[in-house]
Amino acid sequence: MPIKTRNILSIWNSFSLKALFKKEKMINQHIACIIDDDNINQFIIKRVVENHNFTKKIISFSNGQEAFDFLFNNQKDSENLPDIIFTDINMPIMDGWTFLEHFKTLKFDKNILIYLLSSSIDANDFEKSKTIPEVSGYLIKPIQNKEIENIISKLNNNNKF
Amino acid sequence: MNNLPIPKNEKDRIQALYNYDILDSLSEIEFDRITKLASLICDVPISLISFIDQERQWLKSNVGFDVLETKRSSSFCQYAIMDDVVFEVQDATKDQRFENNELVNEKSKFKFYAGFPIIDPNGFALGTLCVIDNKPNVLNENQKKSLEILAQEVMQLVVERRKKAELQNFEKLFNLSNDMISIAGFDGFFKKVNPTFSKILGWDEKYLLKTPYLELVHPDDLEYTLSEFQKLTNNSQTSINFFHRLKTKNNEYKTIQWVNTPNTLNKDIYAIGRDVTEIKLKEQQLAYSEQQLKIFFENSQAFLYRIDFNGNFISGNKAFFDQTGFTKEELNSVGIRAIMSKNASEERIRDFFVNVKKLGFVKDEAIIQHKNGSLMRWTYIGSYVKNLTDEEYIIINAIDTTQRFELETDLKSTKERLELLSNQLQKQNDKLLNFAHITSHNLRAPVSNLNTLIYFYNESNDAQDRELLFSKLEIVNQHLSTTLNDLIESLKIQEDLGIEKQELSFDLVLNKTKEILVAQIITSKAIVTHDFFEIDTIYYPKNYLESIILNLFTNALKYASPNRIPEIHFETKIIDKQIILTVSDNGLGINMKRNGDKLFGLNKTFHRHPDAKGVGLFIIKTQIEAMGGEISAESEVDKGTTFKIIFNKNKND
Repeated sequence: MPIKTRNILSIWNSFSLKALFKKEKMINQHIACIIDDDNINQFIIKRVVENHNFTKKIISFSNGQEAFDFLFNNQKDSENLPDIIFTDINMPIMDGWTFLEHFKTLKFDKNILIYLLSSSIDANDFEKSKTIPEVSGYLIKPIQNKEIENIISKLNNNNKF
Repeated sequence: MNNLPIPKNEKDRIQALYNYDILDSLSEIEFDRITKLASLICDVPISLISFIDQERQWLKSNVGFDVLETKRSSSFCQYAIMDDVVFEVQDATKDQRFENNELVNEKSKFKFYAGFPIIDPNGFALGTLCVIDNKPNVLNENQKKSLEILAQEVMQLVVERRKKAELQNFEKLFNLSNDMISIAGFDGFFKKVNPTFSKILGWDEKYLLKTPYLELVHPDDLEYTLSEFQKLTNNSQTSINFFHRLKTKNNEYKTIQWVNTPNTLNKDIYAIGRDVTEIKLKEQQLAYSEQQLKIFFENSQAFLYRIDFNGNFISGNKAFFDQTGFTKEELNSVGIRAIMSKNASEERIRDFFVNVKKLGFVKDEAIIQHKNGSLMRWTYIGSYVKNLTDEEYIIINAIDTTQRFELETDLKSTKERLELLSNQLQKQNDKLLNFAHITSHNLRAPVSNLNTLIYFYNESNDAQDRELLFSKLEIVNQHLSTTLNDLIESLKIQEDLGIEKQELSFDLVLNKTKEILVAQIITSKAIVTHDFFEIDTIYYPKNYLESIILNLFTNALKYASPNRIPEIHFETKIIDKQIILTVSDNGLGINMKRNGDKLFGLNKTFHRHPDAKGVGLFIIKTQIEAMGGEISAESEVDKGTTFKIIFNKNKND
């Protein structure tokens, strides 16, 4: 058997997973949006976000098209619009990049942060993400604790303007 | 007329007459004096000197008869030359021999004739000295004797006349000859030299006659010249033939070839010389070239040898004998076949001879056998040569290219092996890259999910939540194990190069696949067509072909457009000896610009479809590539997709 699953698992164990999910005292005021075609991914991200207690609501979509349709229909309805979007890159129907192109065409009354989520470090994808001003960051799954904290502080600053 | 007299030696007589070169010459006073004298002595009005050739009598001198020539048939003289005494006709008008003669009648002057033949030292009667009277007459003995003496005098004049002419010819020859003609005395001086001396040597005649001729001889040739002359003085040779160099007025030297013959009576030497400076120079150059050529031939590193068109060995240089191990004598007796490999075909040898003659030369390679049996490879040029006596030869110039050939062969095979290795490495590298990609993309995500879920599971205290987490864990686990199975499958294909191939029919495999998919086909109402007319059979692993067709068929059904009835078409073709299968549908299509590069990756899906796993294309791509083929796709969103498989991709492309 050429794939040594055990070895790979042991590498993953070296991450301090517990540190990722420290609960912080935050006001649950934000709406988060998760776009991922994989149900398990959706489930996991949703749980991580929930654990950080900064959201009052989490909405999930299976691909860019569904998310875009929602945003398009609620363009003027700031109450229902997310403050932060976590989107996967590789998805059927409409992938992350196409979603970003479409997102640019929409006008909102609030600032929405967008984070790209990827299961791997793809140098090309990373470089590409830096050229798109709408993208606030490029995250590798699983999301690290420190990254979530940075995101939350950015969210709070964002709301002051 | 038929009774005209002809001397017995007529032919030689005519030739002798011509040799004196007297006919048709101008009148000469010496001859006229004789005819006048004859006329006076005999007391007759006419006297003639006549010469008789085939058709006429020609008059060298005439007194009292102003005619140059008459017909021989009407002449009196033709009778006179038949004897060596006086021929006398006292009255021609009463002579039967002249009764029809046009010159003889009552009015004419020709009544009396007396002639004495002019006889040359060889006894040929060339003509006559004759006297003629217009009345009958008779000569007394003194007159007859006088006529004989005068005829002899005429002959003397003719002979001297010819000698004079010959002398003049010699004089001309002497003056005009391109050869140097001289008379030299044993006293060391030239007595006479012709103008050619001056022309060749530049010295004027006066200088040449007063200068000892040995002074002109090149100092280095002096001894040799004297020794040659010695042969004449001691009478050991009657003539000498030698070369030496003579100084010219310009202080250059000309090479002169001499033929010297002494006139022992006068102690003089007739010396005839020819300027052979140019010829000598050319001879020397030729000798030099020959010598150079010989040195080149003998010392050449190349193997040089000469054979004739019957395969006989003529000659060879040292390198040739050294290289073949044979001696000249051995090859002379056996012929050139001795050095040819036993395997050399007679046909090829014959072709060689034919082509050398036809083209002038042939450049080729041959396997040559050493006397000890070992083989070599020679590269040679055989050139056609014809010598002065029209004998035909072939000169062969060869070098040993055995090592070069081996090196080239070696290099070639090394290069081939390197290329093979490089290809294999490239393939392995591609596989490794692919594998790294698979690990990072397809294993990392589920493993990461697995860990996270386990963590959630351990943290959770709520039984219902834990049950939910467990069900998610099961999904991830299943996903992971499917991915691992697919990976194992693909690695198995990549390792499975020795897989058994067999003759398969596209038609049969498609029918079998249709049976497997019968439910889906009926449900989707798909129209499935095929065209295997161009080629139906392929030599291929059975499992692979079935897997390829099943996967593409399933794909086409799975990603059919909900807005139209699916149409799926299978077709085979042969292009450039490559067997090609195309599978086209009118389904959803794939955005090739965005997904083209990921189409055949593991776990890639481009449709939101419950069954989409993205495994099939990766597996069949691996299978096709393992068998040296190639798969590609063309697609347009909402129009359809065409997959193209080249089963046996041409290597050079």
